[in-house]
Amino acid sequence: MSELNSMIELNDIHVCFPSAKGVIEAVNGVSLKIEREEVFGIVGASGGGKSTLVRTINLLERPTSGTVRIDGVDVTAFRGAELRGLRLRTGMIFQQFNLIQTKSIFANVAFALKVAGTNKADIDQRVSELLSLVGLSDKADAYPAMLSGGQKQRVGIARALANSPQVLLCDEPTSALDPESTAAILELLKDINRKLGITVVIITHEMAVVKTICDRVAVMKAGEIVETGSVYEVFAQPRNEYTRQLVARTLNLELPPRLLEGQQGRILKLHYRGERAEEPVISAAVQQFNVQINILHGRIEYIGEHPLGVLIVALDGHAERVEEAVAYISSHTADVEVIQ
Amino acid sequence: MSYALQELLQDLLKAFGETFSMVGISITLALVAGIPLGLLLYVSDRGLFMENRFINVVGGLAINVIRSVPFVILLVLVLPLTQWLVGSTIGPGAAAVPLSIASIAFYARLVHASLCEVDRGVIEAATATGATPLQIICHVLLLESLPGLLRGFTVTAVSLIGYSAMAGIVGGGGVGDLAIRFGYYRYETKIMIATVVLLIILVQLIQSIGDVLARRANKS
Repeated sequence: MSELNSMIELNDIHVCFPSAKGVIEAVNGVSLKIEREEVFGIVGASGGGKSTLVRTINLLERPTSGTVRIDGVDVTAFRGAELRGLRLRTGMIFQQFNLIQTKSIFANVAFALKVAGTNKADIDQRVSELLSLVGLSDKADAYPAMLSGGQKQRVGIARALANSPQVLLCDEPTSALDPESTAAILELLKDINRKLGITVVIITHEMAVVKTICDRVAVMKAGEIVETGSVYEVFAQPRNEYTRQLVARTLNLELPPRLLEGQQGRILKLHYRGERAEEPVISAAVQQFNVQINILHGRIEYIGEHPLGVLIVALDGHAERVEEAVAYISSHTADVEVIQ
Repeated sequence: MSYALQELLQDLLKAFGETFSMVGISITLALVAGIPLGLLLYVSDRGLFMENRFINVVGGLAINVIRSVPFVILLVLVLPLTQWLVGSTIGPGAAAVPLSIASIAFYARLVHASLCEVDRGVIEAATATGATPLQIICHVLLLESLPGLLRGFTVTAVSLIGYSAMAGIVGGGGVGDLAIRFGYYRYETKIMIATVVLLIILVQLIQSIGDVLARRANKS
């Protein structure tokens, strides 16, 4: 239980399923370290093996090969009581909430405590605490069918937190929710991470979710991790082609083709990443090379506290001068892409 | 009318008493044995927490074999067993043996079908909570399938009343026996109609009670 250990350490995890067409490799050699108290995202298209991967952490899915370490302990071979003990320490929430329809909200949360052998008086007190934490104190006697999606997920969260776990696994927690509920649930998860110091692992196909709450992210495709890094790094400088597509789609950096039609001269796409101010470069280029610079498109995203922006500009004027201006801007900014 | 109203009432009372005892014994056994059997069949299925191919296949086969034998034939087939268990092959107690066997198999299959309707995600969530198999069975499986279990129980009870009429053929007594003896063999159509009307009322009553209970158990 040393502080030096990663909270979760997956080492060369393979998960294979038999199928009619032979063996399907859902997870293909994934190694990951998830640190204490971070919010870690695993993003990728559906069918990419994310859900299977996250289920190996609490062994809902047993890896075909590879090891799972939780808090430094190899849990891969855990069974019976040992395995149930592990699961008490790792809460999980689901896309479809998976509440017991025939139990009240109170009883749904109480079930998790009963499983841990908590006595009746403590259960009553703890359930009220949990329901107040997720903002559902007035719904204790309601049944799941009477709640909205967002409220159901809050019950799921209360249930997952019942036994004060160290880790909260979230399998597409907002994919069945409307935008408002999504924002509220992500806010709640971030809050829980900060206040309770719980390590959160979140599976999603939406980069927007990653951008909102994750510290680090792994991008998964066809059972493999293609890129891992801080969310800012991955958004600012995606190294893998698949990641680039995901990021571009989220940040909506593509220029409408209509804008490019009839443009003379050069068109540049400038990326700026906070630490380098772009404005002086542009105005300096205008003055120094006597070219016209027209801003076609601009967007700034904040990832955590850090701005990430893109500016698409058109340069027009004397051809030679324009080339000089392009060279000047390129040498003074982090990342320039010449579109035309 | 060839015999007095009072006699008819007495005969009817006796017959219904016999039917109730036959159906009562076998429906109780269907509950006691059918639910565990259906559960066993379900939890031993692929991907569930007590996965066991052998139990699953053998259990499923046994249930299907019993269900494929027409009840009249089952009635005769188990006569030696009945003799050994009850010490007689005549009367409601003896008729309860084949009835119980048939209803256990019948209800076990309905229990299994209801359990299959339980959302696997909910079972997974309970597993992820750290619940033991027994806790999952009691707090998730039986609870979530309760409306289905009640509906299945109603269907079983109604079918049993029908089967119990056949049991009359081998000397089980009961309402069916009365209807056949008087209505069919002695051409006392009125008595036959009277028993049929009473049976319709009985079945209707059972069905209504079952529906109300199932609706109350359903929270979704």
